[in-house]
Amino acid sequence: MNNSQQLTNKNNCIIFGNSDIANFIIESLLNSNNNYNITLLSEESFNTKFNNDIYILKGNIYDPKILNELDFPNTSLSICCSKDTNLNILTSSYIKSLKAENIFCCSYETQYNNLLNSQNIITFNPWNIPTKLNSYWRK
Amino acid sequence: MYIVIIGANNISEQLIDWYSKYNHEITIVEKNLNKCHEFDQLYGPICQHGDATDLNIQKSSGMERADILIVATKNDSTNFVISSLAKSNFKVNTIINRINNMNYSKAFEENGFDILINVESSILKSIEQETSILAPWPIAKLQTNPLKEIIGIKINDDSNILGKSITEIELPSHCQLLLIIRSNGITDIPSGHKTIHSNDELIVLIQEGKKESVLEYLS
Repeated sequence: MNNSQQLTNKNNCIIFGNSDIANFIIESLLNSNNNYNITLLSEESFNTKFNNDIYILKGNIYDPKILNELDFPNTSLSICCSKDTNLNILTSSYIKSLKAENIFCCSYETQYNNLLNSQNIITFNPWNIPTKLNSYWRK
Repeated sequence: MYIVIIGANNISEQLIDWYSKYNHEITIVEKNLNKCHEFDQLYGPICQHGDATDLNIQKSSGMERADILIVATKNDSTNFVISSLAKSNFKVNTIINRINNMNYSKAFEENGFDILINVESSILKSIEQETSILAPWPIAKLQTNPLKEIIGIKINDDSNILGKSITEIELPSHCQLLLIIRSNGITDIPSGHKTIHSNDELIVLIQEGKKESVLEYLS
């Protein structure tokens, strides 16, 4: 998959961070037959079984070069799901300020579940994926 | 006032010294137990041990009655979570954040955390003020409509207005000269015949976001 494909399809999804829950979500989206173009942005290098099916970017969200690669207006779903809850919360808010829509933020602690409500960001725990999120892959 | 400071470090030491002079009540929240003991020994029982990203720790620190929260850890995401928790759960009015990566400033500002301190920017600002002609420094933001701010500008030998009297100076309409601080430290109320000299500092009221046109005129 190349980036030009990403830019022309409103079915784009961006996953921020590499984690078990990120892998689960990617697999679910790929298996959904909804033809999602998935971009995975991660600060660390890694190997994934989805190498051929998704577009992988290594770097930080605040890097202007990385930002140029991400096309929020044509992105239907953004999920912040690294292993670091605090980073997910900040990244969610940051991409909200960049006008991203349908943002989901993974938190490993329940005390943050309502923290981003005022920004219209849905915070979820990896053990309890909300219906609104899994509706992206469930029929 | 009751002030909660997150992080026991050099910055919080300075803040304790400063706020104590004015008899304000301070609590430091610190994750590292040894640092907590160190601060308690230096300043008396001042430290609450724990992780401020934990709601219960914030509660124990008396966040619900905090007038000011100063979040000064070296991690932006930690600072953001602490501030968000304090704002949404305890309605703390004034939250001051140390921000390490200014790229995140938009996320902070859009959540109402608009008092951001960036150490590198502050150092650069100081250097600019000492070495450059027109590096304005912010003094205060006014909650007027439209928003206004008070800034300071140091005048040097190349300035357009050097040697001009106040009546000859035609500042843009959204700008008002409030005070002249002469190089010897004496303050002067701007009026008719008084002239601008090199190294004068001008205290100016401007409409927010219109700084550039003032600087262009003065340069």
